Amino acid sequence: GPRRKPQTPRRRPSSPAPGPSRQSSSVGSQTLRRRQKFMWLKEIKTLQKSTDLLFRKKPFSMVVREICEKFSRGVDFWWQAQALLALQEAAEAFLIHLFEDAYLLSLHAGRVTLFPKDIQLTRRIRGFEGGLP
Amino acid sequence: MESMGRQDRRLHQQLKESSSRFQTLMKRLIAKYNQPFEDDPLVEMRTLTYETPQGLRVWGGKLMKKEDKEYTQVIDRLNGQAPEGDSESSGADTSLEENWPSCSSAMREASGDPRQRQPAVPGNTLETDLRRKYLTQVDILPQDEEYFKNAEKRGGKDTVMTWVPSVTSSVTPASGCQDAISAKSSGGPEVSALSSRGQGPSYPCPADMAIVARSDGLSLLGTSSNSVSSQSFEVDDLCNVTISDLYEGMMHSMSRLLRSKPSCIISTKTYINQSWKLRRRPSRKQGLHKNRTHCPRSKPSQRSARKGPASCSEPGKEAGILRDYGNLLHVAPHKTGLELKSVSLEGSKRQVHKSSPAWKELQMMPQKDLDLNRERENRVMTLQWLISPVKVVPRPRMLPSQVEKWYREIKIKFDKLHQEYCLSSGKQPRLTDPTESWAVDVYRSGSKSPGSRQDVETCRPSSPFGREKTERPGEALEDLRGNGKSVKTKSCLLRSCPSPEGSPSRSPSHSQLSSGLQEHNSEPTGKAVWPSTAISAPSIGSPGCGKDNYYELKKEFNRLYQKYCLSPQRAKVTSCGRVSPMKAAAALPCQSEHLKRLNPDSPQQSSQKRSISPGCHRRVLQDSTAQTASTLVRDSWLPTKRCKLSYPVACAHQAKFHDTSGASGWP
Repeated sequence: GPRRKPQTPRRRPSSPAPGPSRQSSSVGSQTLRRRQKFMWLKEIKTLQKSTDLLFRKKPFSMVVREICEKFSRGVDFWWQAQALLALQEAAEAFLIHLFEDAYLLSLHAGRVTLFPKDIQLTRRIRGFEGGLP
Repeated sequence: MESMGRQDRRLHQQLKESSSRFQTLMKRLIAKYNQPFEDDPLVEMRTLTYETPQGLRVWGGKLMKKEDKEYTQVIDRLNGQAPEGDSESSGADTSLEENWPSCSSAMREASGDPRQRQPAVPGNTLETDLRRKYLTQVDILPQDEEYFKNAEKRGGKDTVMTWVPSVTSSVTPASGCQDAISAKSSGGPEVSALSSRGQGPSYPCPADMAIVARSDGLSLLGTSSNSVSSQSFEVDDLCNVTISDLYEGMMHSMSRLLRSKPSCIISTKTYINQSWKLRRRPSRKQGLHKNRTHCPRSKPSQRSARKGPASCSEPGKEAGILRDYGNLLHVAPHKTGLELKSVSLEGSKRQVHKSSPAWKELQMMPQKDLDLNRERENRVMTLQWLISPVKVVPRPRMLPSQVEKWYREIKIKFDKLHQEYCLSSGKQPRLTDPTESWAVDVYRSGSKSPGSRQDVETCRPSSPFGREKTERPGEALEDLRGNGKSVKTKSCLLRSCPSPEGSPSRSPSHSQLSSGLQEHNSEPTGKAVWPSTAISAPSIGSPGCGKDNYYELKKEFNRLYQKYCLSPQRAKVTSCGRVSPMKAAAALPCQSEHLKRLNPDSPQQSSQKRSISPGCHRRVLQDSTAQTASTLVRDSWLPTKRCKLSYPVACAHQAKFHDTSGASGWP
């Protein structure tokens, strides 16, 4: 299926452009934003519906290999394909869960933009059981 | 407040929901994968490939083609796994690169492809070579002759050769491969795995092929490349390397290192010695001449005179000079002499540039003779040579006329300067310009430079081997003292036998007087009177105060004579028991002849300078007494003999001063 990264809400421009320029390009930009917003929402909805893996298999497997080498001291392993898939699914589920919680916190802070501190706070609240290293 | 509480509750609820969702998801996941997938394909993490009915497939990628298989096989070989089929295709990696960029890049990263690592590697070739040596030892063990047969069968088509992007950089690819393995292994398990994997001799061991056998194939087949010969040689070396071989090389390099290295150290040592001696002398002077009036003025000048040669002498060049002994004595003296001269001229702030060309020329000289005198150098290194005071000194290679020219030039200049300053200082009784006196001093030392240079230089041949000899400053001081004593003896003896033309020596031309005195002093001892000059020169002081200074000098001299010459006299009594004056006198001509042959500049001093043991001090005294006797007996013999004895330059110089020196006898 189509695999696209879920687009996280972008940070709004901290200092919006001054009045005149905004007024001049108000109509065009507004329509563009509306379109973009719709695009985002559409994408989010489609991604939420899908149950596919979001990461590509190969990059993820490379990450797995890297971590595996770290712990296997150079001895290469053979992984079952299902094991790799399970790991990837679990990892994705964990990340989705993390981002959900973090976004809740950012909404709670009156923002629509996800900040790193939201993720940090999420992990902090979860504690060791929730994935805090 | 209420809204805030509501929001919090909502957040809590949402968080709980999300966590519950996550838990359910995880449960589902566990339920999903909680079963044995027995028929599940295994993904090899090294290559990230897995077997499918269609063929080898990359995890999350395409089906691998034949070339890709080759590539993986090559990687397998690299990693010490025996592949099943032979690999013949040469362009495996390149095709792979083209067809499958992502994978190949991944592979490259995984296996440490040399092409990727190459930029980082070249500087590290030595280390990688060593690594390769080490791993060669491990991997070559299961290797058999059969491999070589296979390699020959294959002919020039060494598949692993295709690995190497360019043969010219033959070392680095191998090192890259090596890096790959070492990077992969990063420890013992890999090596053990490699060795324990049981690489049969029936087929070329993959590891060998990747690391060593490749090069072996090269050496055997003799493929055409620039670096093949060197590589094969190197590889042969690597294969058959033993500790003895390494030791030989080590010894060779060490000997080379030692040949070059100590010279630098020695040069510094001599440098130190020299500076020490130069430092020592003024302090002694100061100690002796406490009643000297111009002492504070002359101090800085002395200091600067001390610093002058030090600054002039360049350690690197000195090292070059010191490296061979042949140049040591006959070039370096000139050098120092010129240094002194140049310093003196610098002191008067004139004509430095005129003496510098000669200096440069002299610096060039030793470099030419370096190679010629290598063998001699080895001989020089022997300890016996060190100890024996009798050394065959090669004749100076400088043209006497050239030296004469320089001498004259400098002399003329000095005279000019002296005249100028004499006139000015005549008005001012004490020295107005400290540099002048300093210049005078230095010039004086330069004027009789054969001796003085010799003095400076004689410590040089000794100090290069100072390690063995352990010539300490104390000993050097001993030498100096010995010298001083002998010299004093000479001079006092000269004084005791008054010359008929004593009165004309009191001419106002002080430079002539002083140099004449020095010449007179130096002549009997073969112009080796550095210490005497060192003592007498400052006492002469300002050239402007003619007679007063002279008397002062005389007084000083008397005192010194009392101090130094009487003790040798006492020693003479003891030594005369062994060597009678007549015998000594009889022995002297031949001895002096001998010394003249050895070192025309300073026979006396050379013998003294190279005397290192305290026992030699006695010998010095004996020498002095012997010469005393000779001077007593053959007073008329000396002046005629002098010209022959002396160094050409000194001879020329002496010829100039001969009249004055004859006239300027001590009263």
